[in-house]
Amino acid sequence: MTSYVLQRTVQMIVVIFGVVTVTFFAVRLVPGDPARLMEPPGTPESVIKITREQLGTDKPIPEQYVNFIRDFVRGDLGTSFRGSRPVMDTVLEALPNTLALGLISMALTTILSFGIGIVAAMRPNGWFDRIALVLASIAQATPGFWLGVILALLFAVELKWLPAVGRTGWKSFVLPVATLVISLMPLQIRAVRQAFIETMGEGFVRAGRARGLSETTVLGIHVMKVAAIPLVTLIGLQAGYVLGGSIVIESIFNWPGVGTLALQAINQRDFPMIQGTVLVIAIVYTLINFLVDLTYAALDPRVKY
Amino acid sequence: MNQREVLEVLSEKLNNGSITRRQFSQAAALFGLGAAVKPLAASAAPAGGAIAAPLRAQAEGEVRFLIAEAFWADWHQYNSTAQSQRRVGQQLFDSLIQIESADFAAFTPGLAESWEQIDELTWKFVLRQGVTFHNGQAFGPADVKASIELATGATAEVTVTASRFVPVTVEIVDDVTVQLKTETPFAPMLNELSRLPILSAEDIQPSDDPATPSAGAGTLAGFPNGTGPFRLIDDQQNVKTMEANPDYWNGAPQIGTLVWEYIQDGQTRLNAFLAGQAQAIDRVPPEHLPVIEGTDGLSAISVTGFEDVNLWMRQDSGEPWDNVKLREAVILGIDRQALVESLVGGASEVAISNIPNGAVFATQQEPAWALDLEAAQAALAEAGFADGGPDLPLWGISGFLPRGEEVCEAIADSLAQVGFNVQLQITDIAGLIDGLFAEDKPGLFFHVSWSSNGDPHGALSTLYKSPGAWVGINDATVDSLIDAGAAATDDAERAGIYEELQAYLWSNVIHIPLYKSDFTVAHADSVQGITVLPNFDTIFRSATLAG
Amino acid sequence: MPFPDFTGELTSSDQAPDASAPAALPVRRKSFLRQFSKRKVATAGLTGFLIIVAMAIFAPFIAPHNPLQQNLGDNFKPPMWKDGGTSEYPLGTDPLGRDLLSRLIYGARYSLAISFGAVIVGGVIGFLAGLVAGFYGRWADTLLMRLGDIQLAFPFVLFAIAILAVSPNRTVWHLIVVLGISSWVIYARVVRSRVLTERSKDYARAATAIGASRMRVLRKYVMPNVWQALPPIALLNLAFFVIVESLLSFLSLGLSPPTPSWGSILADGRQYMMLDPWMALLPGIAIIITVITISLAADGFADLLDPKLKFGAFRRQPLKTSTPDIDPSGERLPLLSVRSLTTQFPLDEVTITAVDDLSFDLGRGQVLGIVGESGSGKSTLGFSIMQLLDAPGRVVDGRILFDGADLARISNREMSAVRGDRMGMIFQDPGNSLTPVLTVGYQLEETARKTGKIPAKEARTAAIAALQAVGIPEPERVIRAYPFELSGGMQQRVMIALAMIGTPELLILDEPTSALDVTTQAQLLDELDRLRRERDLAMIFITHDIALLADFADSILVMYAGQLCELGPANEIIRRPRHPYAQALLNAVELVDAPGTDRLAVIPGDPPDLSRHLPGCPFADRCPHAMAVCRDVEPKPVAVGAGHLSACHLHTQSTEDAAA
Repeated sequence: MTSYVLQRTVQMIVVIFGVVTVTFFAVRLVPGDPARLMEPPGTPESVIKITREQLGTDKPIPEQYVNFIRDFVRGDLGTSFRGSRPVMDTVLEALPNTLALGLISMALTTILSFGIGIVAAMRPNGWFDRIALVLASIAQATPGFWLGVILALLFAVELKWLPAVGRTGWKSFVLPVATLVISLMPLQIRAVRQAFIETMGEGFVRAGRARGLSETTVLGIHVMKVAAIPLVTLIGLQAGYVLGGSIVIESIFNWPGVGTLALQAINQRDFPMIQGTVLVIAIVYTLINFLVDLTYAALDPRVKY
Repeated sequence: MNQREVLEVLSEKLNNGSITRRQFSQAAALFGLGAAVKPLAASAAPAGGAIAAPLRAQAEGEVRFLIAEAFWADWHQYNSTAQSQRRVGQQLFDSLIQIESADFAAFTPGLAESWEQIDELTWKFVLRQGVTFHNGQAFGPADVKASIELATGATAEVTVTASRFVPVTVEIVDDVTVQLKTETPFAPMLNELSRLPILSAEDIQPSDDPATPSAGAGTLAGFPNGTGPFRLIDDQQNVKTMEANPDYWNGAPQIGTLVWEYIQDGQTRLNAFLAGQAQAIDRVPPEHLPVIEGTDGLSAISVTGFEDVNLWMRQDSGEPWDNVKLREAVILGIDRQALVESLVGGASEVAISNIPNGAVFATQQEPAWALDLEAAQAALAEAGFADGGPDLPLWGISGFLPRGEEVCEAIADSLAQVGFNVQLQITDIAGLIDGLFAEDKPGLFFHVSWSSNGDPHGALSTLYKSPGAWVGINDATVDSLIDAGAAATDDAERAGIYEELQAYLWSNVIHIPLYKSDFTVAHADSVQGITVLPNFDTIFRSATLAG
Repeated sequence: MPFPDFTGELTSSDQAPDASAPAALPVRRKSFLRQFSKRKVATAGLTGFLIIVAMAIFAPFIAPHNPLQQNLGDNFKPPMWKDGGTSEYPLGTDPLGRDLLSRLIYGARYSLAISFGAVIVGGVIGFLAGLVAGFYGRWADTLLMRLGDIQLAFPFVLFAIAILAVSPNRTVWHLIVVLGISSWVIYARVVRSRVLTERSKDYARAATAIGASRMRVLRKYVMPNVWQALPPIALLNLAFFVIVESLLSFLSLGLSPPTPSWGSILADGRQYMMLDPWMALLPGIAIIITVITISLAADGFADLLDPKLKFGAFRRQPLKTSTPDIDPSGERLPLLSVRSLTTQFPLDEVTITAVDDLSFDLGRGQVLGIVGESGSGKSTLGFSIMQLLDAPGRVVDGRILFDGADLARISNREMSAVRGDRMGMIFQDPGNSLTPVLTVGYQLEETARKTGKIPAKEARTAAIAALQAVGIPEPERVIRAYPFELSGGMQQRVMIALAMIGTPELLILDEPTSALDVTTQAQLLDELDRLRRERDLAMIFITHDIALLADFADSILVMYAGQLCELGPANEIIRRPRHPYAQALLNAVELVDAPGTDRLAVIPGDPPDLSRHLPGCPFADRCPHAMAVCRDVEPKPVAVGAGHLSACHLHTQSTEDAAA
């Protein structure tokens, strides 16, 4: 186990290093001189040159890269062009909001999907199964942002039951969480259903029944433990979707999270902030998948350490 | 009242819920009671009697105002061209004189109680007494001197505002009197001063370190220490929370807490407003106006902005665009009337001149450049492009100017009919700035806007005066007329000069004015008396709260 | 990229449906379309999607207007069913006075072109990457898979922005590249895992061993199986891209105006949501419908390529009728007495009768061998007795008297008290019969506790004892092991221990040794024989290998097509089988006893179709002695000796001949 954790840790570090590198070069590919963007239009070239020196963007790219990596390792993501605060502080301030939204959505999605998926799997092609699958198909076909826009119009603007923007208490979670959950659930319901149906056909299920184990034991322990294994991977992937998708959902609900920060940074070409948000999202995602791998290994003894 | 008493009053207010914990700690910090969060707090120990007033005056109500433009990166009042910087700055700072109505020749007292022009080069201002900055410093003539000299380029330091001014030196006559002097006559002086926030001399040049000329920049950028009706209590990137300045010389505002928040997405802004989460929003697009007007308890204030929405053309691109016929073909090929009527709507108007409609000295120019496809094609042929026009890269911004994308599409469609090879590129603000200033200058026409303060000089000098004219023009006639316009102190003489200048710019099609945009602020009826001016000023000082 | 690639994960646990259920109908290539057309929902989906594609292709002929034609005077016209709407613009116009219907029709064109293009780009890149990674392995594999990890860790939206935000003029090609690149990882992973699976299969290894070139092995053996995995993923990806395209437009990163795509129409319309909701609702609905049709079709394809029986939760329904009184009671009943047992699988169109009017007795401590080909119903018979038939199979007639109780009719609660405690069952594939993620000890203790015969505290001791009882060395070590850590023989011993821990009176063994090598097989049979003697255990030993039963069984039941062929004492049947089918089975053993050959293949012909109950003897078609009567009259079992029954017309027509 220890060597497995070690191996996954090394792999994770490689991935993070890769993401850092890709991010650095991707941002540098974007045309436009940050120094010029920072200064008001009409600023003389001499002033822009000084700004460039301050930013370090006058140096050759390899040197900038080395500096960037050095600063990154120290936890320094630079300073936002918009405002004088360190990027790290701003992103870390916004991260809890994104995580809160993501975790609540993922938890709710998982609970609901397991409930619905298992009930559907009990009687494949039964009425519950059919209704669940039809609704899942429709939900899966609905663009998440479109749904968010409509939910906001309906429940915040027309009915005035819920806030339309911001994070102002538990009520403000309802719409963005609902949007995310509805977008995430279809896939998970299908996967849960599929996993349970397949697992219930396995020989060990019949063997368990043959030695007189109760249906509750067979389904609740044997089937659940086996079916959960592929689902852990799916949940990990969906966590990535939540983090990436937060950019859109957060913008619709003006949620004070990393997504809003990222979109705004992109609009303003705030390069350090773009870098910071991308890196933090990618690192969180990588960490989640690291945890998923460990969970996977813990759940499935067949994984070779 | 001593510090302990202040603390007690604050604690009581915290307990009965009339202030939040954050406000409590902010206030406590301001009064030197808590750990000083910002350097200015340390020096904030106001005179005893001043404190009772703020606490009484603080209203329950919080007014949240959602704006469409991002806040500027820092608070330096002289180093930004962003409208948002000026507009939020106006809540926090005062200028010597003010414009409080749509009459942009009518000035009212601000930090100056009275003023007079002594001669062509000299103005005298009598300053208000008993005014303090938010950090508790007293306001005085030294602040005026430091501010104006910095802003107008009279010192070594480079500021953006200097481009609108000529260098102005300030002589302190006595404790309440200053004299402003210029080396050349400067006609728009009062207009420009009306939008020049007065900063604290101590912030500009910290007295303990006079050797470092730029030392003040950090302070100026870090915190808006003004004398204005509101003071900043919480500073987030997109949310600026202000509270009423209890000591305000013109009476403390009724709005206790004023929050300006930037929300990028127009629909989200509207949602928040309709859901009751904000009391006011700005830049309401015409398509949202009927919804707001149809909702009980919501109203809208529309004005025709001093905002020249135009196709900003790069005049230094050389061949073939140095041919005026080609530019005529462009302006004749755009149905500006239809753009205003069918797309932009609201209070917008077709542009009549290079000076914004309604601004001082703006007059209807001839020819009207109404849509005439045949004439446009003829002009194109005359310019040597009978078999199809040259490339016409047209850049627009999505989601910034009202209906910006649609306007660009309509223009592109129309110009394609004339025969131009239009390359429409819709990008974001940063992308457009790239297109404008990047070394390889990929764009040629940009759908942008330029706002002014009523007096034409600021816009004209920035846009057209060489060297460094934003449109890249280098024209001796234009330069001399702009200089003459600034130097003429007699209004009739100025009008004559600007008449000539407008006609020259207009007939030579030096960039293409399209329309003067609509500026609509919507507000809940619980907030009355927000002043909305054509220069986009949105003043909350005198607003009242219903109920 | 949020697109989940769990497809590979879930299908990796593929397993063949158990033999007790009627085998899934195999899909044959030529009937692919016909098979597909049987799935109504999938067909509806595919048809809908094709209509949308046709609409996109023939847009110029369908659309009433040029989608780019502006008319500022006619802007914001409402749809024709609203006040002010006209039939000239059935769905109204947009802010620039362009016809919304025409834009939507052309929008299909661009949305689908982008999605198709992206699927091709992503598919090709991913396919090649997967092939290289899977086939060459080593550093190429590591490099490509890590690259995939990095890409997956990079939020797609940010990736799209990085590329699209800097290209102010975004064409169909830009979007195709961005979407395509973002999706290669899923293809690469699936292809890679398929390649790895196929490569390791015997035929590919054999081909490599005889010197076939890598390319040839790849092309000939690996590729055909790899191809199959792609269409469902590609279809799902296509649907997903239709949504993502609209997402990009929403973020102002979609197609540059004025080109219409559903995403750009939706994004344009969103600003007018409050006043003219149809401008955003219509393209949204178009997207939803398209995506649904694609997913329905995709589901149909996936089902067809990878058909799986849908097992639900276990549901046994006791027979409601009262026990038929077939034997005059009064005589002492044996442990198990099966009479006229009939088990059916009602499927959608046909009903399969897997066990047909079968009767036999089994005494305590006796071993009954049941032989027959696959599909003869011998396993179903075992499951019928255990009352563990998978839906929709059920006992429809007859009785199963076990120690006086009719198992077909007792309540579920009573039946589960019988299972494990009084009756156990061992299966063919021990590896699949043990829960893979639970230790041997856990499973043993759980079973021990369940029986109620062993106090919870002693469960562990009992588990160790149970393992010792089946001859497992080092039970303390095995008890901590997971099933996959044990050999096949050990696994089967564990299964037996699991069955025996409840000290049952009857053990049903369904081909318990056929997955094992010959030595292990012999050891296991010895072990079973010992258990029988020690514990007076009755056994039903199901096998297709009649030779196995020679020394082991007391009596033998030969089954064919769910019916009794011959039933009698083991030595008698082995020595002198009476039924032509039994004779054929034994001949087959003698003829070819070579390893690796399917012994039963020697009997010419196929077993009959169990869904049609034809008159006559089911074996008639394959029987060397078939007579006219065999095709018309079903033979009834007749006594051919003491306790010896055979169902063949030969016995009644010329008993003397057969005896001679």
